[in-house]
Amino acid sequence: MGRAKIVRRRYFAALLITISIFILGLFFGFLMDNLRTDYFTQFAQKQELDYRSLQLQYELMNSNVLSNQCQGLRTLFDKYIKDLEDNRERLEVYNQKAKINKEEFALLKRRYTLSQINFWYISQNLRQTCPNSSDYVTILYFYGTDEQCPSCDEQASYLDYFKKKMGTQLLIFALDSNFEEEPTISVLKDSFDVDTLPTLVVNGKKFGFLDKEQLADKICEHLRDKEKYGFCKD
Amino acid sequence: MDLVQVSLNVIYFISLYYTVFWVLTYLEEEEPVKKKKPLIDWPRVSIVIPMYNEEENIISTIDNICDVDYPKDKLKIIVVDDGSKDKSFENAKIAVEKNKKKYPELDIKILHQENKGKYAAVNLGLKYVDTPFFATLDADSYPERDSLKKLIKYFYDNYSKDLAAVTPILKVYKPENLIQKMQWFEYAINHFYKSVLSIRDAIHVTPGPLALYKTKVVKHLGGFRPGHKTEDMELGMRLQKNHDLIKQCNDAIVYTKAPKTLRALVKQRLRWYWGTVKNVIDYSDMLFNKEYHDFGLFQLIMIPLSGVLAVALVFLMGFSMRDKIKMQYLSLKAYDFNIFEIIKDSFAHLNTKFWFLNLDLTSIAMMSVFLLIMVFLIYKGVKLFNRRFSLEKSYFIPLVIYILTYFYFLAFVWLIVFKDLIFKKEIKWK
Repeated sequence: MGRAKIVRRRYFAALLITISIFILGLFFGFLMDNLRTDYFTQFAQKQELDYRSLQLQYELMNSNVLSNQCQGLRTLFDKYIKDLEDNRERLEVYNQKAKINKEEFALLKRRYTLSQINFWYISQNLRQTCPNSSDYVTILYFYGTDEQCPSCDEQASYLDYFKKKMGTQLLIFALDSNFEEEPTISVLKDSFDVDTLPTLVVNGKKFGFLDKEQLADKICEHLRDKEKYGFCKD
Repeated sequence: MDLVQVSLNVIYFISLYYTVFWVLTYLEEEEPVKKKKPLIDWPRVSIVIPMYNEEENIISTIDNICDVDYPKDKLKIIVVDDGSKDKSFENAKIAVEKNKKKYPELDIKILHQENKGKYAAVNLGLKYVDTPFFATLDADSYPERDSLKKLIKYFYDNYSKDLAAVTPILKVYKPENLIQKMQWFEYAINHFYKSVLSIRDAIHVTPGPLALYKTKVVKHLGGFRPGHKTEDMELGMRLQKNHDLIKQCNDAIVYTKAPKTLRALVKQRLRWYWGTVKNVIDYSDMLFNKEYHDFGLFQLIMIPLSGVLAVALVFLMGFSMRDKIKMQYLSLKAYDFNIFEIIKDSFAHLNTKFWFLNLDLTSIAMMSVFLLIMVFLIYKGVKLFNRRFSLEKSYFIPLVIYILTYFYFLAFVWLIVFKDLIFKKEIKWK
C-alpha cells in the first residue's frame, strides 16, 4: 500500500478556492466603498443646497424682504446641522476603513469640512440676527493625530457626552487640523492662533484641553436656559 | 492597508488554505470502509499499562481491560509501576490477583521500577512482550468491550506491510462539568480531523490510550523515547520518519479521563504543545520534504504554525481594536462609568438610517466562511462520536462556550509554550 501519494491537483485546487474566497471578500469591500461614496456624494450635494437655501433665507431676512423668520430659520438650521453631524462621524469612520476609494473619500471629506465651516459661519450670524431663538453654544474643535494630540480622544469623549445631553443646543464643528487639502482650515487656525492641540473655540473664546467639569462650565456660561441641564451649576 | 491589516490577511489566507485543503481531501477521499470476512483465529496481543500514582484509577482500568471481548488465552497484560509514591502498586496487585482467578487462562503480570518516566515504564513492559501486536493503555482509560477486536481487525482488513500502528477514537470519560464537556467537543472535532489525516497518512501521534502497534516495528525502532514528555508523539513522528503508516480506526472507542479544572487542563495542554514543538524541531528534516508526501510537505509545519498563528491573531486583533477599546473606555469615563446612562443615551441617538452602510461586508464574508467550516467540523465530529448527530440538552451551553472561547484558550496556552521555549524552561510531567 505505502504512503498515500501526493495529489498535486488538490494543492492547486485549494489555492484556487482560497484565492477566490479572498477575491470575493475584496469585491464586497469594493462594493461597500462604492455604496458609501455614492451615498456621501449625494448627501454632500444636498448639504450644499441646504446651506445655500439657508444662506439665501438669512440674507432675504436681513434685507427686510422677508419678515422676521427667526424661529423657522432656526428649526431648519437644527435639522440640517443634525444631518451634517451624523454624517461627519460616519465619513471619518469610512475614511479609515476605505480600502479602495481613498482619494474619493478625501474629496468628500473636503466638501464636508467646507459645509461645516459654512454652517459654523451661519450659526455665528444667526446668533446676532436672531438672539431670541439662538440659545445654543458653538464649539470649533481642532484635533490632530494621536502623536500630535494624545488627549484629543479624551476631549472628543467629553464633547460627545455633552452633545448627547444637549442635542442641537450644542453645535460642535470638528476640524482635522492636518487636513491641508482645505485651505480654510489653515486660515481659521491662524485667525484663532491655534498652536496646541486640542484647541476649542467656545462661542469665540479659545481654550486648550478642557476636562469634563471645565467644559461644562464653559458651555453653561453661554447658555441662557441653564436650569434645563443638571451639569450647569448656579 | 497597514501592516496589521496585511498580517491579519496573511494569517487568514494561510488558515483558509489549510482548511480548504483538508475539506477537499475529505470530500474527495472519504475512506472506504473495508469489511472483510470475520477473523476466526485472533492473534496474540499484549497490553502494557504504565502507571504512576494512579491508586484511584488502576483497579478499574485493569478490571476493564481484562473484561474486553478478546480470547483470554490470546491476551497478555503487563502492568508497570513507575515507582508510584501512593498505593498504586498495592492496588494493582489486588486487581491482578483478582483477574487471575476470574480468567485463569489470562496471562497477567505486574512489574515495578524506580521512577524513570512513562517511556521507560513502557519499555520495561515491552521487554516482556512476545506477541505480534501490543498496545499501550494509560491507567486512566477505559476501552469499549469490542475496541481491541476492532483495532486488530483493522490491521487485517487494511493489510499493508507498512501499517505499523492503529489508533482508536478517544472520548471523554463521563464528562460532568463544563470544562469536560467542552473537551468532549474538542475530542470529537480532533478525531474527525484525524480521520481525514489518516486517509493521507499524516497522523503524527499514537496516543497512550490503546494505540495498537506491530511489536516487531516498535522493537526494531528501539522502543519508546522520552520525547519531551510526549513519548506517544515522538514515536508517532519516528514511525513517520521510518515510513511506517499510522491509521485511525473510526469505530474503536476508548474512554479517557479528561482534566476537570481549567488549571489541570492548561497544565496538560502546556505539556502537549511544548512536546509538539520540541518533537517537530527534533524531526525537522521531514519539514517540507517531498519524501514524506502530505505529512512532510504540508501537515508537519502546520502543527506548530497553528500555535504561532493563533497567538499572532489574538495580538493583532487586540492591536487593531485598541482604538475602539480606548474610545469605549473614554466614553465610560465621560459618563462616570454609569453604563445605564450610556445605554439610554445611545438608544436615544441611535441612527438606523442607512444602517447597511455600516456593514463591513468583507469581514462578514470572511467570518461566515470560518463559521461554516466550524459548523461542518462540529457536525462531523459529533456524528463521528454519536453515529448520528444528536446532542443532550446539557451539552448546548458547553458547545456555545467552546465555540466562543476555545480559540482564545489555545492562543493563551501556545503563548506560554513559546515563552517557556524562549526562556528555555522545562515542563513538568505531573
